[in-house]
Amino acid sequence: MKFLTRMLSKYIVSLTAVIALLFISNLALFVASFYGIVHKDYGTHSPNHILDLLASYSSAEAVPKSVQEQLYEEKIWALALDGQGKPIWSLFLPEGLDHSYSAAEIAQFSRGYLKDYPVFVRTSDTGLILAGYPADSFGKIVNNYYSLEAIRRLPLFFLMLLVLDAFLLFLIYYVSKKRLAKSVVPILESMEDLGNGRAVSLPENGQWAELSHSINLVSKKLSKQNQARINWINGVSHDIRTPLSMMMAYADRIVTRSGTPEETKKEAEIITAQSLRVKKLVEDLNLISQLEYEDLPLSFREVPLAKFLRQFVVKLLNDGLEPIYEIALQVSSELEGKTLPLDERLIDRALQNLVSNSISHNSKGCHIDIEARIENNDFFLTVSDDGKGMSADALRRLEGTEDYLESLDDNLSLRHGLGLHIVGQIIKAHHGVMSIQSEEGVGFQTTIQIPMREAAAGTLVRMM
Amino acid sequence: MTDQSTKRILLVDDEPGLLELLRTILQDAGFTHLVTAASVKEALEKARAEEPELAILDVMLPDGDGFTLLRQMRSFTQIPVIFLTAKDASTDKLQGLSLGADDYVVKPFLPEELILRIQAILKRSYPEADPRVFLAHSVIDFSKAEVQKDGETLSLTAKEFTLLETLARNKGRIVTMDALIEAMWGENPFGYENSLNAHVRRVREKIERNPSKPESLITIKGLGYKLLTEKPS
Repeated sequence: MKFLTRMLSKYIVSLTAVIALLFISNLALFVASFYGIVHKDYGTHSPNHILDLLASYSSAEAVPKSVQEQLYEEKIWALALDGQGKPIWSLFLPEGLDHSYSAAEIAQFSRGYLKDYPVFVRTSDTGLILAGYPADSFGKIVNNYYSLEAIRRLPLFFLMLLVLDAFLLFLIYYVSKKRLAKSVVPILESMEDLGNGRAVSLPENGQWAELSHSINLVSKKLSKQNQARINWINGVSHDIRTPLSMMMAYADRIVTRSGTPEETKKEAEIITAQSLRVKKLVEDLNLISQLEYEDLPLSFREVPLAKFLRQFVVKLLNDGLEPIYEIALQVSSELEGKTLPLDERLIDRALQNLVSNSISHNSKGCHIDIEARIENNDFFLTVSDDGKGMSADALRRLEGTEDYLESLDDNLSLRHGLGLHIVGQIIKAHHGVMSIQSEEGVGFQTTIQIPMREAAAGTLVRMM
Repeated sequence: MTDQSTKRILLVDDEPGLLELLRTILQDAGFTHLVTAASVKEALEKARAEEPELAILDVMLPDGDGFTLLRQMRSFTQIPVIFLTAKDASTDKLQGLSLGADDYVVKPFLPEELILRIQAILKRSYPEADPRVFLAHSVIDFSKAEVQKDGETLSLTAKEFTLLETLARNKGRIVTMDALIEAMWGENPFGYENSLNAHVRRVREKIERNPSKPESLITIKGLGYKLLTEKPS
């Protein structure tokens, strides 16, 4: 689900950017729409400004021409009243307004309108100055009182509103994206599986039905190709066995027949040895193709580790290990009675390959040690020899060898066999890892590590 | 080998070259009574008429498969059977062995290996009449559960008998301590190592001249034991 987290955090960053962009563009639109009106109505046209201009004059004649022109152009009228509400002077006063005003009338229009004209009032030395604006220019709030507590809380209210809105927006966005991502994850995982050569099967429904169908088609095609490859290798491996049997048997007869010249015997021995190599190569290729394409039914059962290892070494000794090779088994005491779910046949094969490697690379003999232990709830099995070993360079090349069946290397060589590669594949099938250590002239050591918990979870059985 | 060489062996394979080769290998090994067949039908006829004492069967045959052939043969004979085939899948091996085959050899094979397997199966299926096993300084008589050493007759307990019998069945070969414990105490071998050691000590006192320097019942350190036998004098 790493992908999901990455995608969501990306979305959150982009969402923040989108919100910021939205805010800035809204502000710009607001400024563009209201700048003229605000500038006019709250600038030289504003009641405050006009009243400032008029407050200091005691008669209409005293009002400068320019001010009068502005009042005329903007259809503003002016009326000066004395302390008793009697008109002193006026400019452009509409008809019917030139009379005295009672205290009640003054109180009423000072908060609102005088005959539909929005009126603004300022006290002056002589009494009151009124500025009357055209009927449709300003709206006045007649009952204009506010709770100061409410006003004080306003900034906090707006802040909380903003935070809540942002949170809700994030939540909606997060949930919708998460749902989207969840529906996409199986598709992405199946594509990853396909990339690793594993077959997939997606349900072909919902919004991704078409895509799922295409992925399933690719998977089927891949499985078919893999099966064809397995069948081909299996077929070759099968058909080569009978002729190889005859070659080996007749070569053996030449060797064992009395009276065969020494030179012919040696040549026949070479035929037998090379036939054995072909046999092993064919078996290895067959096994590795089955392991690589998961065509091998793995059969896991609880294997008593110490007993299994003793049986393995005893079989080697009973089958007649050449005396130039010595083999020793060291099983730690905590392994006695412990079991691990393993495919016994495959682990036996892996061990055989490791021991065979030590034997085939040390024709002058060597001491082979098999050591088993449990460490941090992992099963460790080490097969080491004190033979000629391998240089650091050769070891690097060996570790870097590509998967034989996937390699595009024209010069890929099977001279060194598939032994270690098979061990690696077998251990991989057990969710374990294999590591190699070697030093020229000191020896070769392979360590297998299989998690005991992982294996015990019983998730390893795969059938195809 | 003289006893085994008289056994009648049925060889079944559809490849004439391989059939001829098998005949030659077995003849070289001293087997004289060999019967060959190249199909299921022919094999059934020969199995009924010739009454072989061991059969080596191929799995892929022109008119059927070796597994079906074995099933049909089992209706009238219980002779030991070895499958010799190019089919190396573990499912095939399991099928063959579960049908009651005594061994499953995958081609290509080394002649010597095949002969050794045939000899081992014949030895197991047709045991020798002599119940005695000769050791360096004693003779075990399994029919009486006794050991003869230096003119003295010593009785074997049930556990000692099982221990020696398991080792004698695998004479010359190492038997793991797990296999011995299983034979003596049953399935779960864990925790019986000390008891096994005690029994081995007691058996050595009966069969060895110098139990601290055993010559017949040999310890293979960390693995198990091996019984070395002698030819009858």
